[in-house]
Amino acid sequence: MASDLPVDLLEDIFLRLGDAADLIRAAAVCASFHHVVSDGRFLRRFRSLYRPPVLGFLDCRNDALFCSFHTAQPPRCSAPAARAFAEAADFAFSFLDGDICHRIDDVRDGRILFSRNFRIEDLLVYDPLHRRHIQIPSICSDLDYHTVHMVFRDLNCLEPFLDPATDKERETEEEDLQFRVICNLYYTEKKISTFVFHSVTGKWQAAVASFFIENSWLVCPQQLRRDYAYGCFYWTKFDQRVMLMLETREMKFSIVDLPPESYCRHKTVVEAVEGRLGLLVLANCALYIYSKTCGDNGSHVKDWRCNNSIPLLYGYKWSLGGVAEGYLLLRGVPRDYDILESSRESKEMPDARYYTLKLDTLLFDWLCVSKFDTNPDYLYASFPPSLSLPSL
Amino acid sequence: MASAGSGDEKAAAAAMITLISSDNEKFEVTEATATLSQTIRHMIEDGCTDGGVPLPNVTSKILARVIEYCKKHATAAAGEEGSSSSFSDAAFLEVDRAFLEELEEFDDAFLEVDRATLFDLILAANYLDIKGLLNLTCQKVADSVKGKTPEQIREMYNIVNDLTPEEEAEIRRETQWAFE
Repeated sequence: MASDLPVDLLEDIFLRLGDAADLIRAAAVCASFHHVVSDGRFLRRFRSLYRPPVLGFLDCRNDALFCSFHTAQPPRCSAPAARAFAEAADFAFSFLDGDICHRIDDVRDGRILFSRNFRIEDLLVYDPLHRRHIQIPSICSDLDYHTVHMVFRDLNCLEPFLDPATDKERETEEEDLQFRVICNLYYTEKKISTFVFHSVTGKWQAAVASFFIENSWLVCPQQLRRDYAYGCFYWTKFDQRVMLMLETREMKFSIVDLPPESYCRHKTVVEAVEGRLGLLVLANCALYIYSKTCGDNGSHVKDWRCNNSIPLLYGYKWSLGGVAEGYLLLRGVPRDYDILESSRESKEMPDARYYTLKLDTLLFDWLCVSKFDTNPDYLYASFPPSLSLPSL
Repeated sequence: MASAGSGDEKAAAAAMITLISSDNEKFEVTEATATLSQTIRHMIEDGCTDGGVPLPNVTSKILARVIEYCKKHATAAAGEEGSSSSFSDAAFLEVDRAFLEELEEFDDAFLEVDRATLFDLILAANYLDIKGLLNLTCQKVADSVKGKTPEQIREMYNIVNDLTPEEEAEIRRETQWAFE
């Protein structure tokens, strides 16, 4: 009876099951249900309607081999899926075969970007769930000798990162497997150049020849926080009054003023509601929420509006983690704990409490408890194994 | 011109259409009721409704329920048009709200049917292309499946498990976490 319904009606019903666990149980009812739910086209439709749940976070130590995946813990409802995900995925990065000197540069859309020895010649992208990796060709492979010389002269450092796929780009299987890597090259003469790698062409392209900066703080991207919101990347620093912005459609850099209150505060740029650009500023056990209209035409300080503030649990020292699928990771360590001292004396690290903040509703959710670590944390969101499609 | 136009509309609303179920029962409905179905709307536009509209996929029992739904919602649609074009008083908004509440109650009561009827309604709504009814009935099925085990779903909807033991074991192994 129910199994006799035409496929499009079964799909219509199953698309209304927002919870992955419901969908998986329905798939185990009979062969026709299983067939509908396993179909890639159906899963893409499901994905376009629901954001993947937060399954945990990846702590990024200096060497990829020492990174670990921390799963969401009960009572968070994604905990069972997170455990299954962690068991199925390869966060030991077996494809590296124990080779050290790999660093995680970015995590996004189910892909992890690695670089070897901080060299742009050695970039690779990995899908830990489907255990596939792709080596990115050297940026120099398509350049002539003269250009290579220009690219590397006075090069201070480089920063590769993944460009997020838009929903529109993820409608077919082919598009699912496509990705872009952006690489900023920072020069000692206060200049940034940018190259983009497209997996479709398999080639690097020069995107920004040179953007000259007056701000010397931009010479060292390791100390910057990089965020993505509505088609743009933003780089902020604790003690700076402006941020760097890269608009990815036209590949244009600009400098955007920040609200003065955010000076000497930890902050993150996020997608706020109604298409506005959001800025979360961490101060004295509270998060202050600023927003302004998107676009570089509104780059004046007065455009920022402080909309709200949310108190954070007292007695903890809070720090900001990564952002994924509309969630921000927050980490709290007991306030009386002296991190510097204990790391000197190599005492055991304290337990840190991890929460997520849902950026549209501003609601906190418990994520997990884990040993404190000063390394950056990438929040990890994904559909559980049987509903997740390969990204490489 | 305007008054002539609305006169035509009134005439159209009063025009009657005959729907004929698979078991040859005839149902007289207003055009406004019938055109909630996109399928019938297109037939009317093509002028092929003389002598009644045969619906070989819908039994009289189900057609009677579908018509009940369409009548209620056609009135609602007419009410909405009237209020949005001519009135915007708070009083009328209040009336609208009361009406919407009433409509919701109607929908809830309408869905109090056995599973077999529910599926027949889905098939009929799909065949007749009545979006509201299809939404309502599909959502009802989806809600009834939420939080249930495969066994419970099979029992609820009389579904035969045609997965081979090997297939089932494979699915369970991959998705054990969803069954805990």
